[in-house]
Amino acid sequence: MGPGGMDILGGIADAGTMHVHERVFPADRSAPRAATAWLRSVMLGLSASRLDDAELCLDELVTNVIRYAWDDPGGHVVTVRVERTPLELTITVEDDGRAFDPRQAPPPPPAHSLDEAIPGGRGLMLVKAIAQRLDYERRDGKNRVTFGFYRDRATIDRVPTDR
Amino acid sequence: MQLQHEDLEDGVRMIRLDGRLDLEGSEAVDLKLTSLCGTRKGFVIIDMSGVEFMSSIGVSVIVRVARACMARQGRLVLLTPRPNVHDVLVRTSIDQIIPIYPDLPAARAGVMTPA
Repeated sequence: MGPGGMDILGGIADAGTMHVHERVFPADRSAPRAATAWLRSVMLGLSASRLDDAELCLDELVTNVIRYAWDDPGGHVVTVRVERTPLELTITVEDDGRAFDPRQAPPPPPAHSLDEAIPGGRGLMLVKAIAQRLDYERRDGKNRVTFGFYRDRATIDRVPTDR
Repeated sequence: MQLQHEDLEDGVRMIRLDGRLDLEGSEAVDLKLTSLCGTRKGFVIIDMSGVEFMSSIGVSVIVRVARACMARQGRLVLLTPRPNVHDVLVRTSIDQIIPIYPDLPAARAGVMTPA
């Protein structure tokens, strides 16, 4: 078993062409690393650069949850679900912390020099730059953030994005 | 996350990072890195070749220490980040404000060049 957490579905639930993986991680400082290590252990058929993209987005979202969702994350968990179809990969991060819609978070001001550069605030900027979609819902006292992207970077150029 | 440093004969401080600059990794090196960049003239090269992964938290640490170097009339430059780490620097436009060099001679020349 990978670092931290436990399998809920016990591996792959084969629903036609969709593969679903889900795991729960203790909400502590090691959660981003544990979640990305798990992602790397379950992902199949992604190019190396696309896997880097998925890893970065997941790390950013889990890190945000650990840092901001609770005053004290002790005893809480973060649930990560990965769904894979032939074309697309979606990753959902769920927590029971304070409501936070990442789509509404303002981007950091552009820095033209080191003088003006503020150190933080670039995590969601990265996720929004990489993912083709970013969804959010608040239900039953939980935040559920889902990001999706085409499994192949080349698909981005072939599939119209305005449909 | 590991951190090693050495002072070159021209007064430039060379810091090598190894591991993951994620939440845990950044917290592990933050204090040490800050003190290494704040105690001398502030001409610093960070060798990024051993950094396997960097998230926005790692970017924050780099920006903060680069500002600390600048406050001492020094300069911080980055040496040979891996492609995935380089991508993060480009996507956050940090490459526009912190120089990145492909080899040590270029980094040593670059760190002494006024911005």
